[in-house]
Amino acid sequence: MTVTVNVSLTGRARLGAIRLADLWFPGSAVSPAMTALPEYAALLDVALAANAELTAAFLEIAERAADVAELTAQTLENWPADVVEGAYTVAMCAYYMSKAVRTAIGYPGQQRVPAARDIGNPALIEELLAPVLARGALYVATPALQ
Amino acid sequence: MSRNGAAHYTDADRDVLIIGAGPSGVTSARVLAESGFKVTVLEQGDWTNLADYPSTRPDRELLVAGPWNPNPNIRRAPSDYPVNDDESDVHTFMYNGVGGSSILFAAEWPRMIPSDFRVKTLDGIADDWPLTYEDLQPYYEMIDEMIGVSGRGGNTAYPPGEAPPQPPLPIGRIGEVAARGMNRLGYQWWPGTHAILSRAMGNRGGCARWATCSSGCPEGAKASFDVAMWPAAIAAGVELITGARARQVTVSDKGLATGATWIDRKGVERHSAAPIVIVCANGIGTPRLLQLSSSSRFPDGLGNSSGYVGRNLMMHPVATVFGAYEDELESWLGPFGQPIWSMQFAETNIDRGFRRGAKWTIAPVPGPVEILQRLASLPLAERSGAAGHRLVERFQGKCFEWSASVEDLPVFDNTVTLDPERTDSDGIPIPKLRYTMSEESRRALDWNIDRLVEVHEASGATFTHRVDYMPEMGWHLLGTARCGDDPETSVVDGYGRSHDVPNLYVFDGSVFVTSSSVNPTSTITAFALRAAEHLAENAANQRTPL
Ligand SMILES: Cc1cc2nc3c(=O)[nH]c(=O)nc-3n(C[C@H](O)[C@H](O)[C@H](O)COP(=O)(O)OP(=O)(O)OC[C@H]3O[C@@H](n4cnc5c(N)ncnc54)[C@H](O)[C@@H]3O)c2cc1C
Repeated sequence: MTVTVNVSLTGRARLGAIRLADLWFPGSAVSPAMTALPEYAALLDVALAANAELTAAFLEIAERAADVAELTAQTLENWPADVVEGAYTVAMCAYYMSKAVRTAIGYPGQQRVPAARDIGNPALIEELLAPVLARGALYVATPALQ
Repeated sequence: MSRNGAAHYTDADRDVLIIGAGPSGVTSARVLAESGFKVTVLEQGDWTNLADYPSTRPDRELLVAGPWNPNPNIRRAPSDYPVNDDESDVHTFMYNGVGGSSILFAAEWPRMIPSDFRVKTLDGIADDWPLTYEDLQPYYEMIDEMIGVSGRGGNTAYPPGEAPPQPPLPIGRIGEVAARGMNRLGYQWWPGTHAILSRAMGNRGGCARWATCSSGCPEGAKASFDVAMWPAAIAAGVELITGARARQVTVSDKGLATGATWIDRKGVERHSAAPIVIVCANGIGTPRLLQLSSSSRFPDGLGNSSGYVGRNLMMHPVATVFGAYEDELESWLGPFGQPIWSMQFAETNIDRGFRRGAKWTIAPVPGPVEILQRLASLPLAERSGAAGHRLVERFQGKCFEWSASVEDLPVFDNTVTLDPERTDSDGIPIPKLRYTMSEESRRALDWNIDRLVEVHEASGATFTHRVDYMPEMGWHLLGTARCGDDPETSVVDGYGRSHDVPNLYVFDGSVFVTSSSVNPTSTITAFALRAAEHLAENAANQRTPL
C-alpha cells in the first residue's frame, strides 16, 4: 500500500524549502535549527517520498516561498490554508525524524519496549484500585427477557 | 483474485458463502467450518504484510496521513470503495482486506454493559435488543479466549465473570497519573482491557508498547483478525478468495438466497453459489450490498420489507481533551488505546441533560508530530517557529489525552443509500451517507468535555486543550440492518437471520439496535459466534433453494 513518490526539487523549490524551514523550525536554546541539521536534505527527501498529496502541497508552497521578497508568518496567512497546512506537515515530519532533534527534546522515538519486561507494578495498581473496589459495582442490573 | 488455503469448494459442495473477511466474517467462518460446514469467504481486499505497516518507520505520520489513512476516501487503495460523505457530519473509517478494519483498530476491547441491551425498558428511548448481556456473556468469554485478550478481571462496571485470560498491559505513568485524578474525584476507572497479548502466544509476540496500534501492530500482538483468527479458520478448512468484490446477493424465484455475484481484480464477473449466505461487510458495506441486491421480487433491497436497511446509522462521536503536566510521563509508550478507562458516566442520569452515557479512555501522545497535530486548531503562527519549539519542548513526554466516546442514539434519517451517480472502480454504485449528529449527542459531548478538563486538573495538568477530531472519527459503523423480534421494525432476528429471506444472514455491526458507548468489536464477534453456533445447530431446519 505504500507507494514511493518520485520527486526532485527544482532550484526554486529548494530555496523555498530552506526559507520555510527557517521560518517554521528556526531552532531554540534546546532544539537545533532545521537547516543546520547535517541530514536536512536527506530527511526532506524521505518526507517528500511518503505522501503524494502532501508532497504536491509542499512543492507548491516552497515555490511560492522562493518568489517573495520576505517570507513571514503573515505572508503565509494569505495563501490557501489547507495547502500551507500540508506543506507544514511535510516539514514538521522531516524535522522530527532527526535523531539530533529527538535527543534534544528527550524523545526516544516509537520503539519496542516489551510489555512483559515492564508489566508495571501490580502492587501499585492494586493500591490505586482500592477505592474503586471499595465503592463496588457500578452497573445497572437488567430484567431478563420475558 | 487469489485463493488461500488448501480448501477449494465448488458450487455443488459449498455449504455457506460469507461476504467480508473482517472480524465478524472470519469468526463465523471458523465456527461453521469447525462444525463441519464447507465455507467460502469472499473478500474484496488482500492480505496485508506486517512488514509493510508504517508503524516502525520514521515517516509513519506522513504515511498515515495518506496511503495508510483509515479513511478510504483518502487512502484510495485498489481494495477500497469510495464513500460519499458530503452530507455526513462524520467521515467513515474502515480497512478493506483480510482482517478487515481490525488491521487498523486500537484493540480496545470493552464489552457492552447490561443496560445497553435494554434502553427502552430503562430509559424509554430507542429499542431493546432481542438478546441480553447474559445471552452474550459466554460468547464474550469464548472470543476472549480465541484471540487472547489481556486485562484485569473483576471490573466494577460489569456483572461478575468478566475475567480476561491474559494479564493486563502496563498502565504506564500516564495511567498512574490519570488514575490518581480519578480517585481524587471518586470516579470509577479500570486498567485497560485489550485485544492485545501481554504474553506471546503461538507465533504472535507480546505487546512491545510501540503505541502505533492504529497503523498496524509490528509484533502481531494486537488481535487483528488476519493474525488472530484467520490461521485457525484456514486450518479448519475455510476457503478464502481475496480480490473478490461482491456486487449482488442473488435470489431464486422462491425468494431464497442462492449465492453472490462478484467481480475479480481483472474486472471479470463470477458467481459463487451456496445454500446459505452471510453478509459481514460492516455497517456501510452491508446495507450497500443489500440495496445493490434489489430485484423485481425485492424492489427496495434484499431483506428490506421493514424499510430499515440502511437506516439508523450510528457512529461514536468522541470528545477529547489534551492535558500537559510538569512531570515526565513517558507519554510515547503504548498501548495506544485505553491504558486506563472508565465507565463512571456510562449509565443514564437525566440531570446531565441527555440520555445514556459515555465511555472514557486515556491515550498516549506518541511524539512531537502528534503533539503539534493535537494543537492544530491554534493558528499556524502559534505552533510553528519559536512558538512551535516552545510547545514541543514543554509538552514532549509530559502529556496525554482523555476522550469520551458517547452513545450515539439511533436516528431513522441517518442513512446509507446508494449514490445515484458515483461508482467504484468496478462501476458499482458507492454508498452515500446522510448523517447528522443529534443535538443530544452534541450536549453529551459538551458535558463530557467539561468533566474531562476537570479530571485532567485533578491529576495535576497545567495546560488543557480541546482536540476536535471532527469529522474524522467514524471508526464504529453500526445499526444499518438492525436485529429485533418484530419484522416490521427490524431486518434480522436476534441470531442475525433475515426476516424476509430465511437463508440470508447478517453478522456484523449493522445488527446493532443501539450503539452503547463502548467500542463494538467484542460485541460484534460475540454476536457472530452465538449466531454461527445457532445456525450450525439448526441447519437441519434451514430452508434452502437447493
Ligand atoms: C481506526 C480504527 C480504530 C478502531 N478501534 C477500535 C477499537 O479500539 N475497538 C473496537 O472494538 N473497534 C475498533 N474499531 C472498529 C473495528 O475495527 C470494527 O468494529 C471491526 O473491524 C468490525 O468488524 P467487521 O468484520 O464487522 O467489519 P470490517 O472489519 O469492516 O470488515 C468488513 C470486510 O468486508 C469486506 N467487504 C465489504 N464489502 C464487500 C464486498 N462487497 N465484497 C467483498 N468484501 C467486502 C471489506 O473489505 C472488509 O474487509 C476501529 C476501527 C478503525 C477503522
